[in-house]
Order: sequence, then C-alpha cells, then structure tokens
Amino acid sequence: MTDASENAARTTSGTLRAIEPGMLTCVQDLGRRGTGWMGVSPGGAADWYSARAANRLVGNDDNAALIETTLSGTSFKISRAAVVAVTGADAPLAIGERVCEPWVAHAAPAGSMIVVGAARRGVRSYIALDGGVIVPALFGSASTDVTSGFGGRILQRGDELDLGPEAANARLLVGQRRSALRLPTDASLRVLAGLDERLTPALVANTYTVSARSSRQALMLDGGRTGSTVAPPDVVSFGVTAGCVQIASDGSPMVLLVEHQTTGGYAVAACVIHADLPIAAQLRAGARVRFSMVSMEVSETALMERINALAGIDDPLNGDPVRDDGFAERLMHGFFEGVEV
Amino acid sequence: MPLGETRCIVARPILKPLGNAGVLVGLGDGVEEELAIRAMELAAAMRTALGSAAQDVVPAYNSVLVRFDPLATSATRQLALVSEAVDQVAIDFAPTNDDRRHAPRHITFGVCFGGQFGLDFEQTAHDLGMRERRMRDLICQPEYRVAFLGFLAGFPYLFGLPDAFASAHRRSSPRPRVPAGSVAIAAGQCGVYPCTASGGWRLLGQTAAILFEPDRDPAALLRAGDYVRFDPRERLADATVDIA
Repeated sequence: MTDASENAARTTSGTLRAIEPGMLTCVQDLGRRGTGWMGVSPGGAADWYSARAANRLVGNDDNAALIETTLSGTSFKISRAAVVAVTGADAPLAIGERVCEPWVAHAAPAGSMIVVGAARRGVRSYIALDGGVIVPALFGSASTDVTSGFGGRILQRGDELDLGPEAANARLLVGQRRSALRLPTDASLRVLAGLDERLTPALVANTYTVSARSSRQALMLDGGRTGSTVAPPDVVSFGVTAGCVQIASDGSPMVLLVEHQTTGGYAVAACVIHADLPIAAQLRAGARVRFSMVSMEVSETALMERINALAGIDDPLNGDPVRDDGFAERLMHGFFEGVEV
Repeated sequence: MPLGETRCIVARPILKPLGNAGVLVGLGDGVEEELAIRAMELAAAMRTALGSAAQDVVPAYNSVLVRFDPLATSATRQLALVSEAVDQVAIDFAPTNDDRRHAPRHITFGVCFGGQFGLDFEQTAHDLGMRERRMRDLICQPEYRVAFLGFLAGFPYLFGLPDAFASAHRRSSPRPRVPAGSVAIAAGQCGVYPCTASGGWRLLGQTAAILFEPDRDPAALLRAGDYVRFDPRERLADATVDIA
C-alpha cells in the first residue's frame, strides 16, 4: 500500500538531516481518510491550526508533510535554501546563528542548521519547509501513526528526509506572519452536547488535571471521581472522532485526539469543538481543564475565526494585527495571472 | 438471530451529530450479528453515495460514523449529506458496492492455547468452573463472524463466543504488553490482537498469523462479514492461517 512510485516521480530538491531529533519528533500531515473500516485512525498533526498555519507561511498546501515535535526541541540541517516557519508550542527558534520569531516565514540559506528549543509553553511545535518533507505515503498519508508504529517517520539521529520542490515565490513568502495560537496554562475547552446528556452536568461542574498518560491518542484527565453522580453506562462500541470526551468507568474523562482508536466503548459526554482541539493538543501534564457548553453556532463562529486567522484575515477584535508583507504583490500576481492577454 | 428478522433494526436510522466533525447513524440497540452486518453494508453503500464529501465511514456493532472535515462542511450540511445518503441507500440498496462484492470468506486460525500463549487461560477455566480441555474445545467449536474492525489496526470484533464465557469479564488492570496474535475474550466479546499493545481482555491463546501488515495489500487480513474458526495447535510455528 506504499505509494512508492508516486514518490519516486516527485522531484526532490534537497534533504533535511536530523542532528538531535528530540524526544518524539515525527512527520505529520493532516492525516488519513477512509481507513476507519480497518481500524486505522486518522492521525495527522495533533494541532491542526498550527500545522496548517506553518504550511501556509511557507507556501505549501495545508496537507503538506511537516515536522511535529513533542516537548523537547529538535535540530536538523538543510542541504538547500528553504523558507522555514515554526508554529505551535512557544519554543525558541534559531536558523544558523540568527534567533528567529515563530509564526513568521524565514529564509534559511542552504546548509543552515535549524534549531527549535524545548517548548516553554504548549507541547508540540510544527516546522514547515517550502516543498514539504517527503516520506513514503501509507494509506494516502505521510503521517506517522505513533501508537501503531507505522507510516511517516519518527526522526532518528542521522535520518535524511527528502524535501519537495522549492517554492517558486520564496521571496514573496518571507516575512509573512500568522496569528499565534494562544497557549493557556490552564484551559477552558468549549464543548458541544455529546451522546449521553446525563454525564454532561458533572463534566462541566468539575475541574480536571491533565495526566502524564496523555498522548497523541487522547488527553487523559484526572479528577473526575468526585461530584460525578451518574455512573457511566456500559456502551456498545461505535465510531468516534477527535474531540469526543469519553468517560472511563472510574469517571475520568479522556479527550480524544487525532490518533484515537477508531471505535470506542465508553460513553461520550460531550465533544470539544473543532476550534479548541488545537488547544487541547497543546496542554501539558498538570494543566487544569474545565469544560463549558456552547451551541453549534458558537462552535462554527469560533471555527470561522480560526479559518480567517489561517487566511491572514483575523477579526481585529480577536487576535493580533496581521502584517502580511507579500500580500499586495501576491494579489497583483494572482490578478494578472488570471487575465487573458 | 435468523436472517431476515428485523426486530432490533429501527425502521429509519437515527442521525446524531458528533461534535463538529461527524454524524453518527444509529441503526438500533444491542449487539446482534444482523445489525452489524447491516451497519457494514450501509457503510459501504454510504461510502459510495458520499464519495469525497466524507472523510471516513466507520461501521461498528449497530452504528455507522460518517466523519467530515469541519473546515469544509458545516454541521447542517453534514446532517443533510448523511440524511440524503441514507435515503438514497434505502431506495437503491443493491449488492453493487465494494464491501458486498467481497463475498465473506471462511478463515481458520491455528491457535496455541494456555501456558505462555494464553496467560489467562488457566485462570479463566478456573473462574468458569470448566476443565481446561473442555474450555479449549468450546472456544474452537463455533464459527465466529467479524462484526467490524476497530480498537487497533486490523483488530476484529468477533460474534459467536459461546454463552458459557459471558461471565469472563475484563481483567481488573490492563496488561501493558499483550503479544501480537493473542486470542482474547472479555464480557462476551472475542477478538485477536493484530500487534503488541496494552489491553485488558483475557488472553486465552495465540496465533502466528499476521492480522495487519501495513505494506501488504490489503493490509488487514480480515474484513467485516468474514467467518472465523480457531483450531488448536501445539506449536506456534504451526499456528498459521488458512483462508478458504
């Protein structure tokens, strides 16, 4: 099922060589489609907003393969000049000797060492390079299924990954900026009603603590044992999605993340809205979590705000002003491209 | 339950949004073979009907989950698409879709029971008040049927576990490392671990068959609807799979 021929046909333009890969640094894209029937989870970048933002900054498709770190930093060398952007967790970034800002597209000369430090806030950094990184696709995706141990790649020291073709408009990309994901130490995650309303009052009444058992599969929460008056019922397994808040038999909730099991046999008390999943994926062990119920409308407005932020058109009342240096040029470029001369 | 009887299948599936990214289609209550087969068939037909509008269509015991990209499809649109697909499928439900084209196969797994191959075998026999030999024969007696794959890549949920095992519950604490190929039961369910994983089911035996191989096509050995038998073996090297 490896699409090797497709990859061989793709032009590669250089490589990324892992120097100090870090604790769990892996290749991700936006995950798999159509694999649930065989028990293979969607996977992909745990924080979709940061991953898409990083890719957009360097001129890639949202689904291009990039690097996801976990708590620790990572360092690698690139053999060709690249446009580089780092998003997600708050972590220091250096390109060569230069200290660089995250959430901004930077030019990195050929031979540059790129160093992302350990996360100061949040868990996962996303590092995108123009052209993306190339690994053999498995079930149509470059994402690493860390739980099952297949697909993508967990970076090892000395690994060399191919880079896709360079962006033609690299000069226009550099300096682009996107709004950073706000990384609260403690979070209030907005939820929609789940499938079992009897469990919702206790869920929203309690404050939970993120457990160190959390992974790309789920944000495991402790502290649900008190105040829960309704015992979670036995449930027949059904298909679940990222965001589902399952209640374990001891009352502790689990917020499913991208690498969730395809089907689950726990009651779903609520579903974290899609706009807040990036925050859930960035919460560290020890963080305190509350849940608040919102309507479907609110969830979709929140999602639209994120979509606008990705497009660089944030609501001025929500988030930092956007500086988009290449915007006018790109606009003109796009405009003239569409005109028959 | 005999084929054709529809006691537990609701006339019109119940659609429930599951957050921003999915709609769950409920087909009825309980765990019945006929419901799971219906879910599998509906999922296959809906996959065709929805095409690229859906990201995934996942059947389980008595439901079908349709997963969407919430950045592309609003909740209202998701419900409308699923509702339309359910109606369309109900009208022209024909055995033309992918999963139906695959006729169910009869698959026999060689299995080594007890000892190092099934760490909970002796305890389970003791708990059920059964002689070990009798328990092994009992587990090898039925023809099981794959309800769906879930939990782990390639993990089959099997129908057909004899009622005598109904009181064999999950272990109180999960094992951190269940070996690949483990034949396991819990609370009336039966399955086979495709890879080494943590798990709380009782381990009765082990097969050498590889249930999931990412680079193989198809990667998953089993499909929903397949029939499965267990056949006792002495040596793990002989505990291979036979597909009829």
